[in-house]
Amino acid sequence: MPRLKKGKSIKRVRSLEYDNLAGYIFISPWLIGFFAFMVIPMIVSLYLSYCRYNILTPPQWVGLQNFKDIFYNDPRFWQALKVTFTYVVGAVPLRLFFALFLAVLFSQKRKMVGLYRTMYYIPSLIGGSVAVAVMWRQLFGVSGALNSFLIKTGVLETGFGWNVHPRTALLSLIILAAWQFGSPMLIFLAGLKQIPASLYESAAIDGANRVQAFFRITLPQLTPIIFFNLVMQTINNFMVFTQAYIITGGQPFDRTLVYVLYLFRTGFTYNKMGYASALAWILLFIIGVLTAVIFRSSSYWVYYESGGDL
Amino acid sequence: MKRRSIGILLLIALFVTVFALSGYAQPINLRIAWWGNQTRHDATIEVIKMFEKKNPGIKLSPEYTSFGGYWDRMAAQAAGSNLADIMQQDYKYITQYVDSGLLIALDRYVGNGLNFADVDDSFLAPGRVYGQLYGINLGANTYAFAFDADLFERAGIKAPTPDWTWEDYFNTMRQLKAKLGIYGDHELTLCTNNVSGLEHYVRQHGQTFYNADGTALGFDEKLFAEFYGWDLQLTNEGVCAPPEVRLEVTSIENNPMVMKKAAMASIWSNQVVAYERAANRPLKMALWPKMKGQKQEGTYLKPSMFFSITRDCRDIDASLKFIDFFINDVEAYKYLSVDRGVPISSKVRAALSAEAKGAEKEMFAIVDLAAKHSSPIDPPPPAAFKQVIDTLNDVHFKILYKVITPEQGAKEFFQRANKILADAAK
Repeated sequence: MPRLKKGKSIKRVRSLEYDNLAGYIFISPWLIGFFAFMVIPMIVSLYLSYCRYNILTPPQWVGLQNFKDIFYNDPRFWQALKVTFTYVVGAVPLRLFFALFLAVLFSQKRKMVGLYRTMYYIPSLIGGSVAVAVMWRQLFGVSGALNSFLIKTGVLETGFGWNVHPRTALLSLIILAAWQFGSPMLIFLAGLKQIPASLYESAAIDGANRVQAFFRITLPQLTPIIFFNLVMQTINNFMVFTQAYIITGGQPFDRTLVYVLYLFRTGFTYNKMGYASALAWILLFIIGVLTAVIFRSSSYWVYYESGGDL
Repeated sequence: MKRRSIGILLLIALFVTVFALSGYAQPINLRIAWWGNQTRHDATIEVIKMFEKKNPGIKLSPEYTSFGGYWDRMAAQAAGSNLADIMQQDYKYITQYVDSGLLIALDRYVGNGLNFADVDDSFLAPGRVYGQLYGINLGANTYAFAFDADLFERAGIKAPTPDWTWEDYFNTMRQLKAKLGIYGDHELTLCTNNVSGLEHYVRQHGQTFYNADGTALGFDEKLFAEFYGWDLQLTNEGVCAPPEVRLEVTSIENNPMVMKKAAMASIWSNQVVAYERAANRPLKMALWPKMKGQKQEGTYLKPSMFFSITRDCRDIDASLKFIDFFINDVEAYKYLSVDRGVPISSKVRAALSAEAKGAEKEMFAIVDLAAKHSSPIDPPPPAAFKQVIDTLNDVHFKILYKVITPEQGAKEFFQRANKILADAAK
């Protein structure tokens, strides 16, 4: 009898192993990608951040030299940080505001709401793409649509370079970011659906108007979703690249030199791959700290029905 | 029945393959990389086909991109010890590649694989780094003006002559602006995101852009202030284009001269064919201005590009055979024409110039003219030159947007560029 039992258990272990194996095989495309394109490059870049490496010749270990140079000897690093912070502080709240505003509009039961939802999501679908950046460049260019409108209506006499003028270049990037509110909007919509209708009903019985209902019920109930969107959008916007690369290229005089664009230039244009790796790790650290800060702050403003345990 | 016949067929195929393999040597497979536009890609591929037909034992697989992407790609290949056998090289980059030990010196193959009987040594000189031949020049090139002779005529202005001075250039542009209401030239020679214009002016003072060992700038600060002061002045007058317009000039197709918004454009001579095609009207060429009392000619002849053999080359003899063919074969230039500059073989040159017309003829004429009004090219720039150009561009736009004066700009550029060069040399 015991023998049989043993055999059975071995069989079970085997079938468990087999199940696991099948599981690993099924996720192997993702696993291979994860290791080949994420984990290994990250380890390599960590090593390279302590090296001087011009791609053409093998890397040379220089210790903390890259980090020292970045912090003490590189005004463009600080300029890139300044630009990126300005961009994030401008773009994230604007995008979240539009997302929430439209989500509230579209959560109402009206005719054609489905169509509008889809239409307003389209900019985000194509948002990060090169094509939109090129279109933006044309729209706000010297001989672009905005200028011809302003000239026709007599506001301007000659074309104005919205994308490239030192005063407005970064603003045009921020507006582009705000326009791509689709994905936070969808998440807000889902969040709005979760708010129990009974809350609104009892508020209505107590005589609350719509504005009161929004600030007293919708907003507090939505704070976990706002929190989620805030974290995701902050991380995303710190890594902005395509738009700046194509529309302004960092022009004029580094006014739109966002951090990742500077990192890219350092690595691929100036062939300073070690230095660029160090920049990348500093960015990771900054985003990490900021995310932690937002998490910490959440206990003061995020409302959880369960009592607030994260 | 059917199955059996397939089996027999397979057997025959196998037999034939084995027979073929034993009868012929395996073909040599080479990789060749270049940058360029579609015209160059098509022409080069045609020439590769011609070469393969004449040399059945050698196969060449092409790898081509635009200039910007090319160097990223080559750097990645170098890092993986997987460079193409033959690569197109550039005067600005070749020293860096030689320093990294990525190219092979070719001196001992001259006359022994490479036939330079019809090539003047002055064409080979720029391909020598530290006295050794690492790059085979593919054509002579020079910067110059391309201009619309029709617009000049309509404005009643004489076309530029070889002994034109800066003052003549300014006045011509001002007249063009006054008579036609368009820009004279959208920039002051090549001065936007480009050092060539300033370098031209610096050379006329008998100075060099970088010092001899590439650790600092090699000219007087006041030359920067003067040159970019002119640019600012002309921009203020509306004779040159404002900064936002310059930033939108991203390709030949949207160059203001091509779009008839300017009468002249500063270009590299081998680009004139492409400019004429984009503009769809005949263009003329002229040399950049001289300076009154200049110490030396600012203009120089530059090798448009090189072919180099890389460290990772699998068959040097076969690679040399292709380069030799590329340099000397008259037939090949039916496709190549002057796209890589004026060919270095006198035989090819004679055959081509006899049949040249339109833009090609202009190109031959301007390179001939430049040869008479030029001084030798300066040594290649130091490896950090890209950062220096970016800095120059930065300062230039600060001046154009009137954040700083040209004098302050000169100070800032010198301070920043010298720091970059000193740091890179460490």
